Order: sequence, then C-alpha cells, then structure tokens
Amino acid sequence: MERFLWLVPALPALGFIINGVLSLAGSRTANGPSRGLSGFFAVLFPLVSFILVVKLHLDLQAAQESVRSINQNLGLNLAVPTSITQELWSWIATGDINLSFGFAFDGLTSVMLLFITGIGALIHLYSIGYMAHDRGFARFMAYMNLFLASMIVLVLGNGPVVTFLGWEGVGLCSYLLIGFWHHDNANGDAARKAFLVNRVGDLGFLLGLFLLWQIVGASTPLTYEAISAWFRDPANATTLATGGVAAMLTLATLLLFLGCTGKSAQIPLVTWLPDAMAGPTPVSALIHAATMVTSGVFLLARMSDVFAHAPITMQVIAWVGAATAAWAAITGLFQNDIKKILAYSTVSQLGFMFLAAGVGAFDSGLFHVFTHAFFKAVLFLGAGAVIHALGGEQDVRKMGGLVKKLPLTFAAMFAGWYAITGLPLGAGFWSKDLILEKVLAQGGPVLYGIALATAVVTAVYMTRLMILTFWSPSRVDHEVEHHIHEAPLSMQVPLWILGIGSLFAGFVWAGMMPGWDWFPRQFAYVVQPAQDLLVHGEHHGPSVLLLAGVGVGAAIAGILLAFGLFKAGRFGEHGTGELSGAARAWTLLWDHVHTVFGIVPTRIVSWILDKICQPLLNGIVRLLAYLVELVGLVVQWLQRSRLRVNLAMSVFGLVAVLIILARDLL
Amino acid sequence: MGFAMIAQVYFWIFAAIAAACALGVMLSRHPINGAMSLIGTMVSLAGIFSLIASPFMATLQVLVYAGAVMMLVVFVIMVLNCAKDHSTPLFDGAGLFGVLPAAALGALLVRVFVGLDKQATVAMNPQAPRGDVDAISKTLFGAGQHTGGWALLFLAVGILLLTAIVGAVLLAKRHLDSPSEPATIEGGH
Amino acid sequence: MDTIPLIHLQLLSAFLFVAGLATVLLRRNLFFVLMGVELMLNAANLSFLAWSRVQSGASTMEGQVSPLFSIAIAAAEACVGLAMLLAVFRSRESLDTDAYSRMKE
Repeated sequence: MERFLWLVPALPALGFIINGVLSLAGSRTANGPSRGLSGFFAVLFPLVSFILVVKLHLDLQAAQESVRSINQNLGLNLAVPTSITQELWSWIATGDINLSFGFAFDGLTSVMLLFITGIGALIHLYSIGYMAHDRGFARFMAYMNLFLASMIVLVLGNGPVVTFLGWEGVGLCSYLLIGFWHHDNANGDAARKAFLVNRVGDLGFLLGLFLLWQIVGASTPLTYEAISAWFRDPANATTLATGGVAAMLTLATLLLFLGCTGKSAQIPLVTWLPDAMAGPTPVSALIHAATMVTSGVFLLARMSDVFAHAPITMQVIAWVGAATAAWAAITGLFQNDIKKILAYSTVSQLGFMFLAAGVGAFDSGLFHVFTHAFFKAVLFLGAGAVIHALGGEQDVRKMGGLVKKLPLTFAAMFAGWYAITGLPLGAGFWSKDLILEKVLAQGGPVLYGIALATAVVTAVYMTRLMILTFWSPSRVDHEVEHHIHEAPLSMQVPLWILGIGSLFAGFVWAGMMPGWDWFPRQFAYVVQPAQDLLVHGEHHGPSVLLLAGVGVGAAIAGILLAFGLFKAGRFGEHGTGELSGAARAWTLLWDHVHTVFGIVPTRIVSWILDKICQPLLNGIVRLLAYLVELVGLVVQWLQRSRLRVNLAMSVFGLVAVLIILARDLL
Repeated sequence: MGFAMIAQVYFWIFAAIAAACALGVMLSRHPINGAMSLIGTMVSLAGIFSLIASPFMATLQVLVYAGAVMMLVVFVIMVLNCAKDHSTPLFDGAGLFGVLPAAALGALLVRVFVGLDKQATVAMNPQAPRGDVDAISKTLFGAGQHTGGWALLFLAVGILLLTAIVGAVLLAKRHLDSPSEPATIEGGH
Repeated sequence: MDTIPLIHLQLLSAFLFVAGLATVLLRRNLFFVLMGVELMLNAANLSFLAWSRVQSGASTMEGQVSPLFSIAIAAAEACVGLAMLLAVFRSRESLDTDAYSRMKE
C-alpha cells in the first residue's frame, strides 16, 4: 500500500491539471468550459483521495494491531509500526545536506487527511452548485484541486521541508482564490494582503527551520521522525540544557510559531483572514475555516517534541492564543457582514486551539481542529447558501425571517450554531470543554477565565448571527424577497452531511465516557511524549462534570444574553453604514499595529533608498557608462574597418600571449 | 676542408639566398616577381633541408611547394593579368603599423632562441636518424609501434585535400545555381 | 653532417617567418598576402626539421613528419585561397585588401 502513498496528493494535482487545461481550452468559447466535465473531475479526484486515505488508515491500524497481538501472544517486544512511508526521490544532496522528498503517513497525518479530503470533497461538491453561473468555473475548480493537493503535501510531508512546499502551495492557492473575482480591485487588494502577511510568517518558518537544523546538526535528516527521535533521545538532554542551545531553541520555536501565526491568523499576523472573505464562500469554508488555517496547529502538534523543550515559547503560544481568541470574539460582535462574523469566529476558535497547544494539550487542540472543521464548514456553507438565496447580499441587517423561507439551510446552520456555542453533546461541546479543562489544569485560572469569557462572547455573537439572519422579522428588500429559493441539491447534500457531523463528530472523543477515545488514540504516540514532558504529576482540580456544567452554563448565558440584547432591537440592526467609532478602532486594531510597526518603517526605509541610495547608485552607474563611452571613442579610432590594421592588432595580442607563455624562457 | 666546413659554406649560401628572396617577396612590385622570389626561397630552403639530413622533405619542398603550389599561384597571377600593384604606395601608414607587431614577434623569437642556445640541453644530437623515405614512412604508418602512428591523421589530410578541391571548384564557379554556364578559369584547378 | 648550429637554423627560420608576417601585414595586394602566408609556413617547416635534430629517442621523427602535414595543409590553403581570390576579384575588380574592408556590402 505504501507504494500508492504518492497518489493521495497526486490525484487532486491531476485534477488541477485537467481543470487547468479545460479552463484554458474553453476560455474563448461562448459559454466557457463544460461545467459538467470540469465539476465531475474536480469532485472525483478528492473523493478517490479520501477513499485512499481511509484505506491507508485501515492498513496502518491493521499493521499496528497485528504487531501488538504478536507481542502479546509470544511475549515479544517488537516495535509497533508508527507510519507508512514512501521516499520518492532524493531532493537536495550536497555535502552534509541530504534531503529526500517523501511522504509519511502516521496517526496524526491520518486524522488530518481524513477530514481534509473528506470535507474537501464535500466542499468541492458544494462549489458545483455555488459557482454554477460563474464564467470561471473550471479555473475555480482547478485552484481548489491545487489547494487540496498542496494541503495534502503539507500534512503528508515526511519532514518540515516537504511541508514547507505544501505550506507555500496553500498560500499561493489562498491568494489565487481570495482574488478569484479579480475584476474588483478590492478583492485583489485582499489577496495581496493575505499573501504578504503570510510571507512574513513564512520567513519566520524558514528561519526557525534553519535554526532548528543548527541545533540538531546537519547529520540528522530533516524528517519529523528523526527530529522527534533526536529530541526524545536522553543523550541529547545535556546538549539542550546548555544556555546557548536553550536560547537558540526558544528563538527557533518562536520563529516557527511566527510561521504558524501567519498561516493560522493569530496575533500579530491576524489581519489577513477577515479580508480573505473577499473570495467565494466555498473558499472561505474550505481554506479559511476548515483546513489551511489549521495547519499552524498541525505543525505545533507535528513538532510537539521540539516545542515541549521550549517552555517560554509554550507560554507565548498560550497567551497569544488566549488574546487572539478574546480579541476576535469581541470583534465578531460588531460585524454586520455575515462572512466577516464567521471569519472573526474562525480566528477566535483558532485562538482556542493555540491556547490548548500552548498549555501542552496538543491532542485537545487537534480535536478542536477536527470538530471546528465540521461546524465552521457547515456555518460557512450555510452562509453561502443564504447569500446565494439573497442574490449576493452579505449584510445581516438586510436579512431576517429566513427560517421559513430556507428551512433546510436553517437546519444545517442550526446544527453548526449548536456545535460552536458548546451546547451539550454537540461537536464543539466536547472539544471546547476538553480545552477548558486542560487550560484550567495546566494553564492556570487566568487563562481559564479568559477562555470561559470568550466562550460566553462566542455564544453571544453566534446567536446574534442566527437571530439577525433567521429569527428576527424580515428586513429583506422586496425585489430580492421574491427570488429567495433553497439551494440546489449539490449544495444541500454537503450541508446535511456536515450538519450531522457538527452534531455528532464530537463523539470520537467523548472525554467523560471511558472508552470513547478513538480520536486521541490514533496519534497518541506522536504527541504523548511531549505532553508527558510538559505535565508534571496528576492534577486534582474540580471534577470533569462540574467543568462541563460551567462550560454549558457559559454557552447558555451567552445565548440568553444575546436574546435579551437583540430581541430588543439594539446593536444597530437597522443601520446600513460602515462600522464607526470604538467598534471600528477595535476591529482594525491590528491593522493599525501593522501600520505603525511594519508599514511606516518600511516606508521610511523606502524613502531613504529612493531619495538617497538610488541617486547615488544611479550616479555611479552613469559614471561607469560615461567611462565606457570614453574608452569606446578611443577604441573606435582603431576600428576603421581596415583589415590589415585589425590583423596587426591581433598579432600584438599574439605576441602578448606568447610572452606570457614563454616567460620561463625569457 | 672537411665535410663539416663544406656544409657550413653551403648553409650560408642557401641562407643568404633564402633571406634575400624573402625580402624580395616582401618588397617586389609585381606579383610575378614576388612569386619568383618565393620560389627562390623555397628551393634554397630545400637545399638547407637536405643539409640537415632531411632528404625526403627537401624533395617534397621542390616537388609540391616550388613545383605544384607555386605553379598554381603563378598561373592565377597570369590569368588575372591586371593584378599589378602600381597604383598603391608600397608603404602607407597602415602597412608601417603592421611592421611593428612583426618586429615585436621577431624580437621575441630571437630572444627565445638565443636564450635556448645558451642551454646545453639543446645541442645537436648526432644519433638522430635521417629523415629519408624509409624512416618517415615507418613513422607515418606506425611500423613497429603499438599505436597506429600518424596513419589516421594522414587519412584525415587526404579528406581535407579532397574537401579543399571541391570547395575551390564551387568557389570559383560564377554562380552556384547555374552550373551549365561555361567556365573559363576553373580548368586551372 | 650535424655541423650547422641549431641557432643559425632557428634564426633563419625566425627571419623568414617575420618576413612573411610583414608581407601579410604590409602589402595590400592579395597575391602578396597569400605568398606571405606560404613564406611563414615554410619558416615553420624549417624550424620543425631543425628541432628534430636535437631530439632523442622516439620523438626524433616527429619533427620530420610534421612538415609533411604542414605542406599538405599549405597546398589545400593555396587551392582554396586562390579560388577565393578569383571569386573576390570577379565581384570587386580589385586585388586591394583595403577595398574589401566593407565585406558586407
């Protein structure tokens, strides 16, 4: 089976090529490329990838199980296989450096790939309906396929360098898809912003990687397996304990975390994600909610052995996560664009995941990644269906009363809302309560307080969204109101599946019920050593049930608060203008920070370069050019197209060469 | 007067003729005079060749060079009878400029030769074999050697000569695309 | 037989070579240019033969054989050179090298 590992990313890549060719070939025809053909391939390949991933997952399980049973029956102690690997080719081989391009499929990869390809395939299906009337249908599908291929490479890569390839690939696709409707300049600006902000993070990733390589030494191959083994090896503990190496490791992990903040939209590189909503809604669902933005959390878990040795970085991650969660949740309260609300919600939920990872609960963070992928995807797709029904209207102040008009969409979004607020037994309930529990136990009461308050605010803004969209009296324009219709079947099916997933996906790790822990068992051997290193001894805090009760209480409090506030008609649901005053300042807080600390210094340096360095360099270049011209004038005299003179010059040259050659004889 | 003395005397005579005729090539007005001077140089060089134990080369010098090649040159000169060099001055600025690198090269050569002459390692080797037909042909075709000698190069030279003949015929034709046009000069080749 | 000093032969060779080179560079008539080249080749042959007299062992004959090739190449050069001379003379009605300075016209 490991021989077919490469097919998992190759199939969507093939889809990209086919759709790219279709797009180019059909671009000059009257109706554009065939939508049926393009859509068929676009959905088929992710689906086959998903089936392959399932098969790989079962194979890995079976292999591990068989070795375990042999060990048990015969009393042996054979190593349980941890991953299915495939080395495709030697990538860079110079001197000490020997990088191989290969894939590694282990427990962590398998759970990530299961939902990436699964939800990815569903969102591709949804896109067929959503983009049906768009001229660039095939181009859209090509980008989506390319994104999926890059995301799979990111997750499946056997080392950080291969991951970086996918990391850049998803960044590129994100840029292409945010600016998909490039006729509007604002969309292009948003795409460029996303690209540039991500670039800052990518620089951090690269520098962190270089530093990390310095620490482990060039003789260690740059694969996750080797890096983890190096950090787990007790022989290296003394090396890590020395002051210089410890400081270097802290810097390296901080830089890697900067890369994560770029991709996952955390403070300080948070600003691009809300703007990224300029892209089509399926893009927001797939890239900017379910998959790409979670790659930061994935990387933390993947390199948990490295991060566990840098306690300062872990503190930073926890606090950045908490701050982002709180800031983005409050920002979500002020937004009137339905997709912006969900975007800030995504940022906030990502903050939760980083908070969990920062306190040393990598598996809980990943669990939230998993459940969040379901409920945020369904919320985005539901929002897309609403926007589709209202003919492109995104302002929640111009919605309302849609519960009767769009009952199916409402049902799906209700499932998403139920999950994200953390009401009992929904997907978000399990993961969020697990995070809150771990934060209290391992991070202390302050972080727990922030997280709990954020949970309340989350319930408030999500309920506000539901009230303004579905439950309040209709404020839809009359001519729009006639055309309201349920989305086509291709959009409905993903909504139902993901809606059901939002309600029940949490049962893969129902923390309170013993034995319901399928999810963390899959990759325990990846993150458990790091978590054991970070947590010292048993923690005796409040009981799990009490904490769950507090969490549910927070959700219900938020919901009741929202009903109290918005049923009374406050929070500007009748206005139409842009944000203003404090709300605007709060929303754009990090844009202002970027301006002051990033853009203004860059402008100053640019001004200096433009006004001082450039004229100087220009002058030098002009001087050189003038000198060349002068020499040319002299030489021109010799080149009067007289053969004999030219020949005589050549003989002079010959004499000079001979003098050099025969210098020993002279 | 022994043989060595006679050889010395002959060398000086031939060398003087060769040098004088070389100057004649350089300075004569009409090409036919130049060609005749060149033949004089070549023949006297053939004499020097036989003096330094290279009778085969001396023969070739007379047969091929002075005979065939110079005959060709003289023939073409006579075909183009208008090839006189009266109108142009013998020495103009550009020409005199050309003397400078030639003189520089000559000075370099003389310096090297005189320098080498002072080293004992380059004395004449009395045991060196004579360059007669027998020795040269054995060397040329690698008799008694593991390598093929110069045979391959010899064949390559044959091909080169063939190519040169074909090239000359094509060049001397008036128009490449009208082969039927009667040729008047090509017969000389 | 080896009574003529090497230096005399080499100096004669150098003189002939320089005379040939000077002819090429000095004269404007194309015939003289060609004859200058022949003179230089002859000088080189003399130098080859003279050097062969001071060698010992296997390399003695190389100096004797090299002029053979030099003569063959000279013959080919004369053949092609004269043909070119004819072709050029037909198009220019002149043998003055300075008249050919602008070859592209």
